[in-house]
Amino acid sequence: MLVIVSLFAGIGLGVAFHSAVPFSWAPYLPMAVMAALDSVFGGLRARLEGTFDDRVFVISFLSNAVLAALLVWAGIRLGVQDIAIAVVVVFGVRIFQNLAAIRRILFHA
Amino acid sequence: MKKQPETGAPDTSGSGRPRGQIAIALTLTLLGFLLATQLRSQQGLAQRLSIERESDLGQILTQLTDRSDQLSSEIVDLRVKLAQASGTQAQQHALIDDARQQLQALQILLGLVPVKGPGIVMVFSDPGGTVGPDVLLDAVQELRDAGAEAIEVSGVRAVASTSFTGSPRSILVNRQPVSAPYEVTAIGPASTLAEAMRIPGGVVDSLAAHSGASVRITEEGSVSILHVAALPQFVHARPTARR
Repeated sequence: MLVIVSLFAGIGLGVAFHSAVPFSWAPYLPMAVMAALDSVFGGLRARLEGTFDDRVFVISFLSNAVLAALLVWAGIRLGVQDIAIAVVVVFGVRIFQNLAAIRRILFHA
Repeated sequence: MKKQPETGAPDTSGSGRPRGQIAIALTLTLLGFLLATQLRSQQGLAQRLSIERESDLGQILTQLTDRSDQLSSEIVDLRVKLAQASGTQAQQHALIDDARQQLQALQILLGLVPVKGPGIVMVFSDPGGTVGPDVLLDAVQELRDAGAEAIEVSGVRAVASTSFTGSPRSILVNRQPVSAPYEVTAIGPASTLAEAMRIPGGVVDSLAAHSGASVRITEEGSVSILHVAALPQFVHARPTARR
């Protein structure tokens, strides 16, 4: 319940204040979102597996998002903008693995 | 905070620790915020660009570049036109100023406007009735020679077309009868004008030949000539090309 409420509160805030986000964030935001999604699915999987720990969840969420954004920033600085693809692939694969694990737990398949 | 009954089903309210709950809530709020922001910022761009293929995008780019070039050259054209127009305007201003000065000079010369300035006033008294139109004409000519810019004779503005006719006691200035004492007002360099009247063989000198006539000349710092002449109507004379 809390999860859904806070998620929607965040979406509401984002819709209301999306213009407050500087344009220069444009390259980093999608990576941070990918990382955050990965953490959330990881957390969900851990919850279903019974190994969920809120500290691990919060820290991994924040650190993943920040690290992803930092990686992109470093890539831009080094002239390898395509490093974003690496981030996308890594987090994409991890999201898929997490979803597969969740699916296996929920549907036993 | 709602506690779910402890069953085998996953507990959606978290681990039960309030601090952990708040942290999770804040984290998820952040996720929602990030998601919404990202989706919103991508929306406009995605709607326009994601449906286009690479070649189409290239075409769009070419079109936009062409349009940009077109507009740039238009800007240059308009700048040139603007510069030309303002140049013409300055020229026109100069022409108008010239014309205005010319108009003013001609208005004074033709006696169309009242004028004011330093000058002299001459009063011819003629108790004997011996002063003829020639004396006044001489005076006017002498005044012009001495640099008078505007002259008035007994209430008649003396201009290029002014005539002095008649005979002593019935002098006509511009066919208008005037009577003694005749008053001549002239605007110009006052002392020069007065001197010109007094030179030997000049107006004052020759007036001595007429019995009883005398002239009084006063130099003034500022005299007014308020009478104006009518604008002459030219019937026969037509401007022609200069040869």
